[in-house]
Amino acid sequence: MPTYPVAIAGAGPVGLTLALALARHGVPCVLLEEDGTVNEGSRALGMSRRTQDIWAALGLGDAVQAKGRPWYGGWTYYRDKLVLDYRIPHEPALRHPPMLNLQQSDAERFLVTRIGQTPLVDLRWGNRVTGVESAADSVMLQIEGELGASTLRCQCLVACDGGRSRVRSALGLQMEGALGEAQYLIVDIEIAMPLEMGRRAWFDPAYSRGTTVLMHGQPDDIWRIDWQVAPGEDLESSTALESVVARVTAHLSMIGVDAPWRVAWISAYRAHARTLPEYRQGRVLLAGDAAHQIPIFGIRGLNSGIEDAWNLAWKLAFVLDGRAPARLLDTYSTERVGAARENLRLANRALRFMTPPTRGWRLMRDAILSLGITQEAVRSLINPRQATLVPLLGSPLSSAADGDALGGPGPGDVMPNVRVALRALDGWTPSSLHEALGSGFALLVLGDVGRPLRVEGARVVAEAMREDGVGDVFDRDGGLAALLCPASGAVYLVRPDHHVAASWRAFDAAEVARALAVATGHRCAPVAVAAQ
Amino acid sequence: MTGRGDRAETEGVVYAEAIFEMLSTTLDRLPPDRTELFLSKLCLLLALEAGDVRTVADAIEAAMRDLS
Repeated sequence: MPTYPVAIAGAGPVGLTLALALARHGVPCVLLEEDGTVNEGSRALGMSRRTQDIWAALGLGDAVQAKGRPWYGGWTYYRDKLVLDYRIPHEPALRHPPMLNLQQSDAERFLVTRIGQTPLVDLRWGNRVTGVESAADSVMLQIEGELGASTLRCQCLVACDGGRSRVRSALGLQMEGALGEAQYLIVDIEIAMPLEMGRRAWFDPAYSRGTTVLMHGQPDDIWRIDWQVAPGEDLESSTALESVVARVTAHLSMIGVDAPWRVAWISAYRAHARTLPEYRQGRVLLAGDAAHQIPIFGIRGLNSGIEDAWNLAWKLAFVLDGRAPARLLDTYSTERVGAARENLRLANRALRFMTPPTRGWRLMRDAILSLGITQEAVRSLINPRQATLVPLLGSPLSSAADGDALGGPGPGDVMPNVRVALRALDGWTPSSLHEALGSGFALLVLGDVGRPLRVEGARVVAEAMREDGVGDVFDRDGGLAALLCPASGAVYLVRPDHHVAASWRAFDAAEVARALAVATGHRCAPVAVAAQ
Repeated sequence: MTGRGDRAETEGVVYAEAIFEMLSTTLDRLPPDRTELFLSKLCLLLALEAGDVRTVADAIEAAMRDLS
């Protein structure tokens, strides 16, 4: 029986992204999906800039950007009054918009199409993992497929099989956190509405007192409306077509839209907020909703799963080909459990504002909204701050160094994906920093270091100071200067997932070698990078 | 945006979030029929702490708006 390097259970967006990310590192995998095709219907919607950057690195950036609808802010109303008109922090020099609305089913189709161009991914629809036996040297899977039962052996299994993960159940793993009590009705309608894209929220609207309503545009004239189902209201009757039509009619009337529409999708949702305490169980790893369930209102569910896949792929590649010890996989759990806990904190904050859990929270929330009509001082509490990136604080792969004080991205931060010009045979071609950094470790050197550098184990990417000068990237749009440390000679060690591992004011070969050993799990950080 | 830029929620936001949570959880500890008295006492204490009639008058005027 052949032993696959990696088997992935679940071909949702996280599993598909992981398969492509592994292929990017030259690792073959088998991808097992219970369903016969991609998910249809209304699921995740808002793709973060980080997700867009990752998908661009995997070669589907053009398709995603062509189909998706970017947005840069939103509007919040209390009853019939606007209380917040906010913009998400954004630098034009960044490669992608802060948020992009794209239906999950479209994203999955793009990922599957890309996988079809990749011989390293063996995608098997209609294959359900029914049993998992983990041993010291491999994992044995029992599978039910169209041709009956079979077994498959792999070196590592990654569970990306969603909130009801069969792998998680087979391993008897229990999540920590809360099952959601608040219920939401989610309706997609097809309607031509000439409205600017963005997040629209209504608190206590006239037609549905005491509840909260959200509205988002999507491609193809689809608009999603989320209603909080009032306490005591029956969710089943709320999802009945007659009831939905009445709600949509009332909502469109409130916002003054009079255009023909049809219901495209109806679903119900409970906002669970849970995570496993560990995402590694020997040779089995868990990612996405199989590992954590994050309320959708912070737009951190699918996006955090994509970051899981991106974090895990290079570590699996390094461990499987012997470039790193197996304990590097422990850092996947450390880093991503930490990120999940922070994502849960931020998402719960958004959820608590949308759906106050108690009398006290509701009284204060309503006071904030009422004051927000006239008082700027309280509006920061209304801003959902959905685009906030979660850095890998306290990562065991980070090293403290003298570059931390420079003001650019620090250890654990994502290196911003700014637009740069990349050296080509016939001059400079438009590109992005992440593309320039490539798929392995990279040493980004800003400004004129005065001498050529060589680093064992990392690609050196040097900034050209002038368009006719020497270097790999040219800061044509000023993004490097705006978002990174502009000090001449500053050096950043960047991981394959584009997180900063360490930074220095100037190049020092021994320091870089030491930080690289830490970032690949070969040695512990000499000075812990404290959580901030 | 860099992670560091995102990470650094302004001190004002952190303070406002902490106050929001402190007041909400305090209200939850009170019997509902004591809420009015508690909030009145709290307002009085904070008004005295402000030490400026104009500041308190402005706050009263702002809080009076949009009560319906």
